[in-house]
Amino acid sequence: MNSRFLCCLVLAMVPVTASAVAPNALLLGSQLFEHEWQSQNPALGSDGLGPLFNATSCATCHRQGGVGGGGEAEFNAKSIGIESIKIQGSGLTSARLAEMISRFHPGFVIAEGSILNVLPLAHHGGTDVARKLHDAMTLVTSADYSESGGPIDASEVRIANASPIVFEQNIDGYQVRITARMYGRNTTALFGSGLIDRVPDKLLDRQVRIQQQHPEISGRPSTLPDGRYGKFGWRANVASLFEFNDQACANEMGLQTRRKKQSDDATNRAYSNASFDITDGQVEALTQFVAALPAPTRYVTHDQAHLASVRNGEAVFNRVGCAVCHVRDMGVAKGIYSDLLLHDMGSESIDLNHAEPYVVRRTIMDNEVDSTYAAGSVVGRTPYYGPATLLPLPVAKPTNIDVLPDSPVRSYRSPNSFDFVSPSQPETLVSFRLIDSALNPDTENNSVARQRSRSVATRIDRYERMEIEPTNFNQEWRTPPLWGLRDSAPYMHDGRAETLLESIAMHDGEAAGTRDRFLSSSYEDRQDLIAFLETLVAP
Amino acid sequence: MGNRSCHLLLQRVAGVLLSVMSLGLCQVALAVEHQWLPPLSELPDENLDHALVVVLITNDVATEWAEGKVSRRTSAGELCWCRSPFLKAVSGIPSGLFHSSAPVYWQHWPVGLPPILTGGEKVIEPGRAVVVVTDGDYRILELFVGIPSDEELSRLLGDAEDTRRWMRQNVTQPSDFTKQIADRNRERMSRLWKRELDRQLIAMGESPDQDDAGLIEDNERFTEDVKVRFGPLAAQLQTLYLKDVQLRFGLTQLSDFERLIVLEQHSATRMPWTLTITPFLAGADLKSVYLDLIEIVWDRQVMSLGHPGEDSKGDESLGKWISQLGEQHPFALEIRLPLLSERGEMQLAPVSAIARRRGFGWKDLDAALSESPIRQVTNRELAAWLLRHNERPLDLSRPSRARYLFFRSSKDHPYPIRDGEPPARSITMIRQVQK
Repeated sequence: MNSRFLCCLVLAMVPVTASAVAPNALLLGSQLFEHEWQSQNPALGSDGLGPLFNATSCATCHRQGGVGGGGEAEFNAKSIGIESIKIQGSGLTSARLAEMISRFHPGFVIAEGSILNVLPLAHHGGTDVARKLHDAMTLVTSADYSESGGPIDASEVRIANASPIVFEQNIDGYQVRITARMYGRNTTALFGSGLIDRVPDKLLDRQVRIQQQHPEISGRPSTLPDGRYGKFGWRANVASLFEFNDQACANEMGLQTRRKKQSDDATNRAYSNASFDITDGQVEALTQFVAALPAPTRYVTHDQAHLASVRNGEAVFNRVGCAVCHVRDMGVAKGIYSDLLLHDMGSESIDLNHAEPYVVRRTIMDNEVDSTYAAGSVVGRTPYYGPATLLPLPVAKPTNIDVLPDSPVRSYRSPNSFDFVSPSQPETLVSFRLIDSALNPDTENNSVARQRSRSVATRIDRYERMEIEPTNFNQEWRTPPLWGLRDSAPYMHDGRAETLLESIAMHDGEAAGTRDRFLSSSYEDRQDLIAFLETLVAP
Repeated sequence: MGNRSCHLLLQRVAGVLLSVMSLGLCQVALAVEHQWLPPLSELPDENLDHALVVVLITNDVATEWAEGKVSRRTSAGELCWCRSPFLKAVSGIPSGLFHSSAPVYWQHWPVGLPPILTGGEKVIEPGRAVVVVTDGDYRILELFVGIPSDEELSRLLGDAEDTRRWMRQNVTQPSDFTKQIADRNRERMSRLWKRELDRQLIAMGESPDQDDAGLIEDNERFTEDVKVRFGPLAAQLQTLYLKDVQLRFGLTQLSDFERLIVLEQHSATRMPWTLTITPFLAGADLKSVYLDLIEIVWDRQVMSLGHPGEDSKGDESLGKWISQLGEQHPFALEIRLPLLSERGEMQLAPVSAIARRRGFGWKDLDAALSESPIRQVTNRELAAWLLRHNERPLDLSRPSRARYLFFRSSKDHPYPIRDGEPPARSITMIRQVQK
C-alpha cells in the first residue's frame, strides 16, 4: 500500500468534507490533481494539454500549505480588459471593427465575429504569433513576470495594475485608440471546498436578510442565469464544485471537457480539437478528491500571552464589523469566515470580467415569431472568471438575446466615430434567456398569421425574463473565506496585497466603514486582530 | 556579522539543538535591566565604544510643556502613547543579545508640539513613532518607522552592530560603508525600491561633492554633508513612497493621509523608504539631524528637545532681541519650516494676476516684512516666549501653516500670517503699521 493510497484512505475517512467516497476514486482524483498533462492524448484522440494553458497540472498552482492550497502571485491567471475604444472615421462596419481590434489582439474577437472586451492571456502555449503577442502585452505593463507566467510577487501585481496599456494606430484612415489594462486572478485554496459545495442557498438568503438591516453592508448572492446561486471563484460565478473543476480543466490547462470547450488560440482559428481531453469520470474523480480535501484549521500556541492576544483579536474582528461579511460558520462550513455573497469593494478593486448581474425577479414569457427568424443567441461570456461585455457593433440591428423585438433597440451607429467605454453597471435592466422553443403547428390561427392576414409558420420561443438590479458589477467580489488565511498570501483577488495589513487597508466600498474602524482601533488591537487572522491556517 | 547577530544565530542554533535533544531543559531568562536614560544624556564612559542607544521618538508632548508652563525637564518617565507595545517588544528580545560589555541604553524623545503651539488644545492625531539606533556618540546606525516587534527590534540591534563594524572599517571611505548597508538592505526590498536605491547610489558616486565628503571621524563635517544631501534625497524618495503606499494600501485621496499616519504605526508601511534612506543617513549625528529627520517622516513640525539639566533659559535670547527693539516698534518672527516643506512646493494660497500687479503677491509680503526687524525662531523658542509672556496659544498648523508672526509692537498679540490665506490683507495691515 503506497503513501498516496494511505493519504486517500485518510481523506476518505474525513467526515467533514466529502460524503462517503471510495478510496480508489480519491486515489484517481489525487493522481489526476498532480498529473502533469502533456500535449496529445492518444487514449482519447485529442490534443491533451493546451493549446493554451496556464499550468500543466492542478497541483502546480494549488500548492500553498499542501496540495490543494492557494498559489502565489506567480501563478496568477492573467487577462487583458479593454476599458475604452475610440475610433475616428466614417463608415465603420462590424468586420472593420473586428479587424481593428484584432490588430491590438485577435483574441478579443470570438469565433462568430462578436467582440468581447476581455481576453484571457494564457501563460503558455499557442503559436509563435500568440507567444509574441503575449510577450508584447506583458512587456508594456512594466511588471516582472515569473517563468510560471504570473507577476513574480505582489509588488509586481501592483505595477501591472497601475500600468495602462494603450494601443494607438491609424488603420486605413481610421484613428484607433484602445486603452486596456492587465488584470489578474490569484489561485484560491481548495481546502474545505467540499463543504462550500454543501452550503444551501437559503443560508445565503439568510445572510442577505441580515445584512439588509446593516447600515453599511449589503451583500447579494451571485445570481446565475439558470437561477442557481454561485459559490465558487472570486466572482462566485460558478455554482458547484464539479463545474468549477470542469471549467478549471478547460481554462487553466486547455483540457476540453464534454461541457466546456478549451480556450481557442485566436492566432490559429482553423485549429480544432478532435475530441475532449478529459473524461467525465476523470472530472468526477478530481471533484471527489477536491471535495475530500480537509477544511482549514486553527493554530494557536499554548503561550498565554499569545492566546490572550488572539482572543482579543477575534473580539476586535467582531467589534469593528469584519464578521458581518466574514461570517464564521455557514452551515456545514464551520470556520469558513465568509458569507459567500458578493460585495462592492470599491473602485480600486476592479476587473472587467464582472460579476453576474443581480437578477431580482424572474418571469416566464412566450414570444411567437416567424419560424424563419433565427432564435436568439446566447450572449458571449467567459463565465469561469466572470462574464465579459460584448462590444456593441456599429450596426442598429439587434444582435443578441438581450434585445427582443419588443425591447428598445440600442444603436451605436454614429456617422464619424465609434466609442465604447466598458460599463460599470449592467446596461440593460431586463434580460432574457431562451429556455424552450417549439414550432406552432397551427399556421393559420397564430398571432403572426393574424397580423399578416395570411398563413405563416411560427415558432413559440419561451424566455425567462430577468429583471436586474443595477450594481457596480466590476467591483463586486465574493467574500473570500478566511480559513487557511495564513497559508494563502498574497491577498485580494489578484494577489496585490502582500500582507494582511495591506489587504485590510485595501478594503473599500461597502467595507470602508469597517476598515476605518479597524484603523481607529488602538495599535495593539490591530496587531491582535492580525494575530487572530494568522491562527487561520491550512489543514 | 556583528556580535549580536552572531549571538542571535548561536542562540537559535542552541535552541534548536536543545529541542532536538529533548533534554527538557528550560531556557533560563537572564535578568535584564533595561537602562532607560533621559533624552540626549551623556552616556557612561564604561564600554562606550560598544554601547548602542535605542531612541524611541514619538509625537507625545514632553512633560516639561504639559502644565502650560516652562518647567525643568523630567527624567525618562515621559508619557508615551506606544509604551505598552514597545516595552513588550523590548522584553521579547532574547536576553542573549544583552552583554554588560556592550550595553544598550534606551531613551524616549517626546517631540510633539505643546498646546501653546496647537491652539491650546491637545491635538487629536494618531500616535507616531520612529526608532533610531545609534552608537555611543549618537551616530545613526539604523532607522525604523513605526513600532517594532521583538523580532524586528532584535534584528535592528544586529543590523546596527553590522553598520557600526562597516563604519569602523571604512573610516576614510564613507561611501564604502554606505554601499555595504545598501547591499544588505537591497535584499529586503521590492524591485522599484531597489532601482531607486541604486539610482541614489549612482547619484552619490557621481556627485562632485563626494570626493570632498567629510570623514566619519570628523563627525561634525560628516553630519553637515549628510544634512546637505538629506533634503533633496528625501524629496525624491517621497514621490516614490507616496506612489508605493497608494498602491499598497489603496490610498487615493488627500483625505487618506490620516489613514497613512495610522498605517505608519506598523513597521512594514515605511520599511522600503527606511531601508533606502538609511545608507545615506548612517554615521550622522542624531542630535543634529533629528528635527529634520522627524519632520520629514511625519511632515509635521515638531518640538526640539532641551538639553539635560537645563530648562528653557536658552530661549531668553528671543526675549532679549524683542526687548531691544523697543515697545512701539513692529517686528516679525519667521517660523522655521519643516525641511521637506521648505524644499517642496509651497502650499501657498493662489494669488490672482491682478492682485500681484497691485502689489499683493507673496513676494510683496516678504518685501513688506523685510521693512521691519525679522528673526527666525524655532518652535521651542517661540513656545517658551509665549508662555513667559502669558500669550494666548497659537495654532501653527491650522487652519493652515503659520509662516510668520507679525507684531504691531512687543505689547501687541502676534498676528499669524498663514500659507493658506492670500497675503493681501496682511500686506495692507503691515504697511499701515509701518507708516
